[in-house]
Amino acid sequence: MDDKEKLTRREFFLNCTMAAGLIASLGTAVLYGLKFAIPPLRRPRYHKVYLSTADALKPGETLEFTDLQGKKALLVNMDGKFIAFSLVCTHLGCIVEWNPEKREFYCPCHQGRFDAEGKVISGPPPRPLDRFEVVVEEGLIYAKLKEV
Amino acid sequence: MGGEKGGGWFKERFPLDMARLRNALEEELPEHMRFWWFCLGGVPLLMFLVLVFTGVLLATYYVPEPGEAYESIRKIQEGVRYGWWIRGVHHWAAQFMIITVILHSIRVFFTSAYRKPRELCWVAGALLLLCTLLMGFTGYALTWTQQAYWAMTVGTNLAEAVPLVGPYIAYFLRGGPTVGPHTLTRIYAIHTFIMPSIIVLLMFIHIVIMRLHGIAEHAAEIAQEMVRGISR
Repeated sequence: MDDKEKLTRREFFLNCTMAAGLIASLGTAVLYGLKFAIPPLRRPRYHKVYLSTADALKPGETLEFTDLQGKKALLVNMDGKFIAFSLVCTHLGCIVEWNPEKREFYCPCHQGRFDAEGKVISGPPPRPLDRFEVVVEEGLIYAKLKEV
Repeated sequence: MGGEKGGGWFKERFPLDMARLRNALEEELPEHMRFWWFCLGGVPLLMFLVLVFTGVLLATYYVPEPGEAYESIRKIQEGVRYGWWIRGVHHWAAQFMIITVILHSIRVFFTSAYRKPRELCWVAGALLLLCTLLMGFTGYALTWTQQAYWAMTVGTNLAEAVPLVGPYIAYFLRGGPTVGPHTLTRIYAIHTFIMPSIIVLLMFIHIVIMRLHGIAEHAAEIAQEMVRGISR
């Protein structure tokens, strides 16, 4: 080691290849590991999606749409106020039904019931239905949907 | 640290003899060690290090709860940055570790490297093979799919078939009379804490015995035969 033996060209290239391989593999592992461990810093992005004109939806009427994951959602004109609910039951992910007469959501899987605000009335669901932010601009209704 | 020469402060407090260390690293190896099948024992060790690295990362997102387990893995695969890569490396390193452990034991067996006085090294190695397979089994069950659930049911039924103590082992592994939520938390503890600790201990014993004995002569003789055979 210390008697300063001259490195042959072949040995030099071999060492370089070995070092490059080591750096590439360890570097990839460390870089990907860090990216994996650190959640993305940017906040989730929302897209403003056009749903309907405000005139087209009379009080009590509903419009079914899908969120950006393709899951069912419902826009309801609740006595002049537009609310967009996710129809995915918060219990096990079944699709809930809106009952206009009773003014409540009903989940057929385990008899979960939610009121017109999306709050749990009875059954196993642990939290209210998810809602999307609704924006009404110049008579047009938009929902802010989270990017997948 | 002002006036002291480079590393002097640290060297005084961490008296490591670099010359001796370098000596140990530059030990000459017998001729036959240039054949890759004589070096297969190191591969599982390398794979184990890869598995620890990726496994610790996976444990930061995995949730050992029946309702959440599969969903959290789906999230690792699709949501977390490079999650598919980390989990993929963990998966393939596990496969590769099992394969190389088996190949290593086959090599040791057919070159008679387990013979006196290396029996204890062989026993530790055999236990390591068992631990590796158990790691594979418990890791497989952590996904908590239908397959995993039934693998756990079959596996614990196998344990139950052991005479006398079988039912107790099965009850312990399941955390109750049937496979359920407690089974998952138990295999999680076994997979991430208990088995790795045992493997580290056994690897330590295995490598220390191997270093104390040096490389097996039986193996060397057979290797010489091989070398002659090849160069002829």
